[in-house]
Amino acid sequence: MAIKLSLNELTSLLKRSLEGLAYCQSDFEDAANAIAWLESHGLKGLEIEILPARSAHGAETSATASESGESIAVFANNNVAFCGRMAVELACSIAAKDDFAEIEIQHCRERRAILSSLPVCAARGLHAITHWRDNNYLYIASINAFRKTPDIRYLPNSLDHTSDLNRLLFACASDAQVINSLSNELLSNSDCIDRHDSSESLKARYEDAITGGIYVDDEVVNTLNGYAEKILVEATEQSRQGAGE
Amino acid sequence: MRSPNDVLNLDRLGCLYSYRLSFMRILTRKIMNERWRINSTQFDLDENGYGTAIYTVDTTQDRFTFVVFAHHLDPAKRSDRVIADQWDMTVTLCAGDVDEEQMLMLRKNVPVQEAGRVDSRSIVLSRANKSSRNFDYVVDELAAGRQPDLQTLARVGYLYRTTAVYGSGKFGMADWQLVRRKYADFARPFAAEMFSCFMIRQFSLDQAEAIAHKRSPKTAVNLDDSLKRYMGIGNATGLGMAPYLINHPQLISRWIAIRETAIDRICQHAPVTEQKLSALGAMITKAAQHLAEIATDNEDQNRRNNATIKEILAIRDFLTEQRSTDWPTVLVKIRESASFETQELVNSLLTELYPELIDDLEDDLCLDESLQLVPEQSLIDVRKAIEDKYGWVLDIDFDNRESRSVFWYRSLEKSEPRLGHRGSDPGEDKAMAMTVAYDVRQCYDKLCGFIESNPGACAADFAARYPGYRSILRRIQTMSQYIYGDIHANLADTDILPIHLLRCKLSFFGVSKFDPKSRLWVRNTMFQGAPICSDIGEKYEDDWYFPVMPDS
Repeated sequence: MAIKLSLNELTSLLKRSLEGLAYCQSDFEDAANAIAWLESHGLKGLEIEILPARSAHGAETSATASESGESIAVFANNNVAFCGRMAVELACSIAAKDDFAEIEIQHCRERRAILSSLPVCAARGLHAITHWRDNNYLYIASINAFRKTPDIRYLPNSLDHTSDLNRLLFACASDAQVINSLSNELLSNSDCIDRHDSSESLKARYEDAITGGIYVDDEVVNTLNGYAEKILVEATEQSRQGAGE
Repeated sequence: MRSPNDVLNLDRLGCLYSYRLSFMRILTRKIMNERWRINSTQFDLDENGYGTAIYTVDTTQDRFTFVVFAHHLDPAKRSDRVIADQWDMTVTLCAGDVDEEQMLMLRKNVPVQEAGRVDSRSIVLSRANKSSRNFDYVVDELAAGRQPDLQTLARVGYLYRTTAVYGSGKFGMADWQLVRRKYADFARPFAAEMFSCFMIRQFSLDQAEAIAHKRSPKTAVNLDDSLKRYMGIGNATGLGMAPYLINHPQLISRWIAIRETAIDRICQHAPVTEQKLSALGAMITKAAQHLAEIATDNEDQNRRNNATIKEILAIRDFLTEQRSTDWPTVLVKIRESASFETQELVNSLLTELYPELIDDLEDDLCLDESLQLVPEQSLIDVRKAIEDKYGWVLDIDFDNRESRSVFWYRSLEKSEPRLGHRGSDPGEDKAMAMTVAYDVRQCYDKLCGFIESNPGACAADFAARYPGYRSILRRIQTMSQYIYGDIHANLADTDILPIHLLRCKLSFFGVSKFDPKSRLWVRNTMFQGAPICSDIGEKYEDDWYFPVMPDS
């Protein structure tokens, strides 16, 4: 069974759920927005793992830039749903100074969550590209400055790139040509494109989600509600006084 | 423009009155000027008034359907609290026509409110309870062929009271983005919600008359139109509204800025003429009567109302002797002698004098909200922004226990927001993120330390080093770009008065007759004095602000 949620409702539920999982405000806001963005664009955001990776009891430590320099910063061991936007913001700050920035996130998971942060970069007047690989595909997503939706290409990953399976690269630049060149270089590595989610098709999916709502499996909703309940406090006669009765 | 330190002071925001650009006023102008057609197409109520009613609403652009389910409610179950689970009336506002299949779905889900699910064809979901004092009395009188006593009606001012009005995608309804884009009639903040309250009021009047006629077909009369207009729709608002003001700082800032812009335009461009002074004097007389007619058991509110009456009548006398030719001079004099309540009342009345100067501002009440980091901004500039825009935070002594003694949390009972005291009430570890002031202070201290060792650092460097501050940093950077930023309030302070937050937002909605029941919740009246559906098509005067009892 599936339940239809509005986008606002889904985002709110995700925030409460992630808060219930003891993530800090910055983390639960970023991750909730990332997941809801993916889901509303038909990119299966709700399949993203949200449970803390390292501790069954507390929150996963937030992403921290272990090294930041003139043009590159490296993040370590994180879920991109939580650290992706921060990485993009860091890249934006570098590009504002140098006209170009490249960020590598190493040892990361849930890499497609970076897609939701591309519009953040574009809103700052920068062109951006991100790419990563899994066993099947090389994923390339790009966005032009001031656009709201990226363009995603899925290329067959025929090469042995086992070392690339848990890293992600992101670059942004004030000059569109720089990003186009990077994109062309990546695309030239393959003879064909298996799948293409154009910005128009993503926009159309988003419009459908806004117009008709988003179907979510009721088990997923129940699970999220279960997490969200952790932020609720037992009601007592005393507590009712705290609402003015 | 008035300074943010003046305007954003919570004590002052807690004294705001409705004004010409309040949402109910804008909506009513639209309904009346565009001559919306509102018809009752189904009215299947039994002799007790229980059953189903449907109204179709044809605007100039779209059709909407307002669906009402009227229920029997055990008086013992009648509660204003959000935690109630049964109501006298439950309603939904839907886009387009409602077919049988949708009606079946609505019949199953609307009466249970939060426990049900609707879909994106629904825009608003709400419920209301009868005023136990007024409803039966009015029905009895009408059934007996008499008009109800005006003084008795005036003690309450409505037949029903709403206890929650939901929109913005809750329970599967249409997202605000959809409403804003697709339904131009409701593309302003809370327009659909306000319209639903307008329709609840209409149904409350229709239902009372219907019951009276069924009970005594031979003797029953309809309520006089003047009394119908005087009947508003009651509202009870509690802590549930407060988080909205904290979670939507850009929108609240916009509403405040629009109000201030309206006042500023009048100060800058409107000459003080004898005609305007005379009109203002008449408005003050009416406002004083309005305040005198408010019936509240709250001693503090009574004291404030009485003081305001005294002050505005003195101002009226002062205005008759006025020789100034500009409003700023007049307002400075008022400010020197009058309370916040009176100052803001006069400001509200001023907006009624010059519609031609301010009405275009009603198109600017919306904005796309998004708190954004400015990653490249130097930390030294961020520090300066905090010192400039959040100086009020830096003045708070957070080492004083009382400045952090209160926390906000959500109850297991329908997630109702509640207040607790640190150290004594459970739930401190689950506190809601309502402590903007404390968070800004924490961020400021951390940031100052970071600058010492990284003088050339930017906001993104700090956020990457201390990721837990990303959220507050985004807020600081975003709100620093607005003239009117965050509300100046430490919501963790032992003396915090949440009711000020509620009144601030309610004034923008356009409510009147604030009747505080404690420092945590307030009853008030919506649409009192406003036109009723049968007035649509008649000449509209738009003068129902500060409503007073009709001439008997």
